[in-house]
Amino acid sequence: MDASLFTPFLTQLRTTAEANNVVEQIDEITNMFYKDNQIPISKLLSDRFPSDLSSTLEIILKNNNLTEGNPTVLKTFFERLQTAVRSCDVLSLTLAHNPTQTLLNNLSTYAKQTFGNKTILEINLDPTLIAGAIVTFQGNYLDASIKRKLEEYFTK
Amino acid sequence: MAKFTDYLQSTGEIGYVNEAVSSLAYVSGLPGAKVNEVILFESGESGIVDSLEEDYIQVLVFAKKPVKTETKVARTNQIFTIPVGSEYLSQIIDPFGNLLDKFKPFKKPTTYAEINQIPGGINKRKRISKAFDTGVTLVDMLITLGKGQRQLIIGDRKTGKTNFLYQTVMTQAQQGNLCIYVAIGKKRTDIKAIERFFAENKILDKVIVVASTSDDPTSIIYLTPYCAMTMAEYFRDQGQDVVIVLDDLSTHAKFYREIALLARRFPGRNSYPADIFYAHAKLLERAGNFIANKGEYSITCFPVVETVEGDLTGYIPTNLISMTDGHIYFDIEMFSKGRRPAINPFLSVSRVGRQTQSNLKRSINREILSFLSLHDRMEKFSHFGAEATTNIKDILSTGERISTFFDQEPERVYSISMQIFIFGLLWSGFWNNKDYNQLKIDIKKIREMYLSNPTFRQTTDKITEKAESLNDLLTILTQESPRLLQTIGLTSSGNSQTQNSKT
Repeated sequence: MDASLFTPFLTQLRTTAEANNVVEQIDEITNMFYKDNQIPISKLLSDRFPSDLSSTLEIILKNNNLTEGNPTVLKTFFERLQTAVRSCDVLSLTLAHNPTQTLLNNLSTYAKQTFGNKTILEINLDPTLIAGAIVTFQGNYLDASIKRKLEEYFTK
Repeated sequence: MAKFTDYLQSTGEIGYVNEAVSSLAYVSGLPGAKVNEVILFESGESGIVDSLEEDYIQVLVFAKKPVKTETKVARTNQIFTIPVGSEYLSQIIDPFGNLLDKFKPFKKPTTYAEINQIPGGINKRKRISKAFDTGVTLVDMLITLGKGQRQLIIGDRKTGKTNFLYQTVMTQAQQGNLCIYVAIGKKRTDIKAIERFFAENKILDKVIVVASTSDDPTSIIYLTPYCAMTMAEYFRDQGQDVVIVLDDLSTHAKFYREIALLARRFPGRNSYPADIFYAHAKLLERAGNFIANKGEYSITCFPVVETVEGDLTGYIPTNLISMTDGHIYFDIEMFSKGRRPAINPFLSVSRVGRQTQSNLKRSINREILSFLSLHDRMEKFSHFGAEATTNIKDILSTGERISTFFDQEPERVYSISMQIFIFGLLWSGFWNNKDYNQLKIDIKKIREMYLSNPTFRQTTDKITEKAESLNDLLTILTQESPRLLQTIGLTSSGNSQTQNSKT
């Protein structure tokens, strides 16, 4: 199973909160496989994931002829998906306010275009920043907040 | 020191603690980190980069408790340095240059030096040519040392190693040289005892004690000798001969082993890491006789290593034997026989000391060593119960007298000329018909007179200076000693002509 198989799914993941949710839901789905009254996989996905993510997963499963597969093969597929989600690169953003969905989409798109599709955002809130953001990615750090600018201004 | 966030901003890098064990932390991020760079944790602790791996860096943390995982970490872009300066004279300090007595008012020096400096190469070194006095007769006479020599002190626990080092430091401090006593992972009471000894002997103003206690973090104990050596290098560059005592490197090796095992490095012999030799060699290589900024100055180093039941073939002892210029072996058997110092002259070596000896000392050294080996043979022979001839009896009693002459109380030191003078008297047969206790009492009298009477001191110094060889010395002593000794109430046993010199 090629890791690039999950790229369309990972592209739709925006934040670490979403990624954590995906990992948790996958655990629940894989637990359902061995129950007596088996529920169709499409139903399992639509019940647990937002529509865009579940439809993307269904397409991936269909393309790889896994919809009717035996539970063991499906379990392997979902475990691989979990690993792929866990290995996403995290770009940490500390903001002064909760971002709107539009801003979040824009930020996520920018991050994926700049750093690759496997990049997801970790949003932290710190109202003392006033505005702007603190960005950390792969060991690099940038404080582009108004708080910092004001501190620099007053220490001069 | 600037704030944590200031370092984040100035370096533009951040890391997170992935795992922490004891004094070690594994940190991800910080792509630009360098080995030996100071690292700051958000929780206030600091550390230095120990090694760089592909996905993480290994940090030696200067904290007793492990740092918490996910703690933010910042680089400082500064290599680990310690303050150095003469302000530290007569102080007991930790490896970072802080006083152990935190309530004492003290102003830290403003000069800083890196702890891991590259040792001077061959072009920065000079042949060892000046003699180094320890004040211990047996060593000065038989295992002569030179300034800049690295001499290993090896022996079991409680065999008098520390007393010998105290005597050496005392002699050197009295001669005006600077001494650094490094206590590695010692108990606080032991450190206090070191300070007390130097204070009681009024030499504390020439001594710096760099100490780490057994309850300090492993990382700090590991760095102690390197910090002390940095300090020694500073004083050498300032134009001073320095003596550094590393007490002891077996403890240091054990703490380094702990770090290496926690760092998941592959264990080698006795579970020590593969680079234990390098860890000690890079330290001892920094001692020697150097062409410093202000002339020829030396760092004489006394690393100490403990053996178990007199086993010289242990891993750390053999490593250190191979990287030093000789060793002084403290023999547990000699200690049990009551010899003080319990140094075994036949198992001790000085590889460079002989080149610093004067002609007189060389001839005395040769004479004593050949006599001692003869005495050793005769002693073994006498064990068979064979009837001893007069000649053998003479050899055995002279041997006993020489042993008594070498016996020395821990707090007493003898200057070289005093040692030569007393030996000359002994060899000329001055004490031939006196018992060994009388010899001890007379030696004590001569020492007291030498220290208190300047005329007596000058005369003995002149006698030893004048003599070119042992025979010269004996001739001069036959002429001048009776008058000199009469002044302190000592009289010859009547048989002034030597039999020993003939043997």
